[in-house]
Amino acid sequence: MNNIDINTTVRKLYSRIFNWYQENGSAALEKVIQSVQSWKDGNEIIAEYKYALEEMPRPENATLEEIYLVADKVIVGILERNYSENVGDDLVLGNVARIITELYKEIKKQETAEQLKDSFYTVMDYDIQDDFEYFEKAEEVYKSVLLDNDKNIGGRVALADTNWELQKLSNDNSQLFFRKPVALNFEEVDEANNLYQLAIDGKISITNITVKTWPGLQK
Amino acid sequence: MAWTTEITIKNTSHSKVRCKVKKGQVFENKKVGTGLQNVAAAKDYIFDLQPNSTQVVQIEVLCINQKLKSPEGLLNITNYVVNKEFHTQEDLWSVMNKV
Repeated sequence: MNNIDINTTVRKLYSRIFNWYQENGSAALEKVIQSVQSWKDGNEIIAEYKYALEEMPRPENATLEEIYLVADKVIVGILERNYSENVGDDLVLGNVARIITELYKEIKKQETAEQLKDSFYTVMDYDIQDDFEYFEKAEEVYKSVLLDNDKNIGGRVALADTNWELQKLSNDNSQLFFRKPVALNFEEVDEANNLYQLAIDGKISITNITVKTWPGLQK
Repeated sequence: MAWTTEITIKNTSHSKVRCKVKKGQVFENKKVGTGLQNVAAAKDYIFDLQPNSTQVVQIEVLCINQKLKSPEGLLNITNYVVNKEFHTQEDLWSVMNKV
């Protein structure tokens, strides 16, 4: 099932939860207050339940995250009291909520897979403590990319450095991507007489390459 | 500030060799994590290397990692080229920052 299908299904399922609470929420609250001692005395818990009902977004407007949060409340949160309430088709609120949470996880998994297409390496928790650790990891991830300092040809450093700069710019310490060249706006040159290729083929040798300022050049 | 890479190339064959450097072709630092910018050719270059000779060519370059320090020292040529349009230093940084 692709993400659009899953989205539609989640929304339809959520409608069952939303509609049930629209019709039965207040009565359900009264029933719990009458039958559960802690609720009889619990102003805070009643307020929380009422808040959950008031804030429940309409299905057509709800984001996936909002739907997930409501489902989670039915499974283990303030709405758990209504877990076994029937919503038709032999389903109870709890079943519907569990299906929603499973589908939500599936969507998140597919989104991550999309991101991974641009990554050499798996998305991981950013537990790298400093730049030195990043560079050690980058050397390992990009090790299949050439770096031959004797011949003055490479590619590995450009990927690692550029990826590092982007990581810093993102300010996101929860995920670390090691991007493929295409995700860094790099593509490979495919020309037999390119200076790089001639060096690889041994037709010429590069003695050194030095970067300098050139005051005479007009930018 | 403008930059150039000065490339010393040896042709040990008995034939002339025509060489190309593409606009956007990346020259990188020799080591990961120097904190220095890597650079890219500002335009296309074509030059001939004479038989049994060593030549020095100058390639105008622009910087590709805006947040890093100015480039310096020795570099390697890579097989990568920046595949988005750019004309100025600002263009190139803008392209690279929009990854």
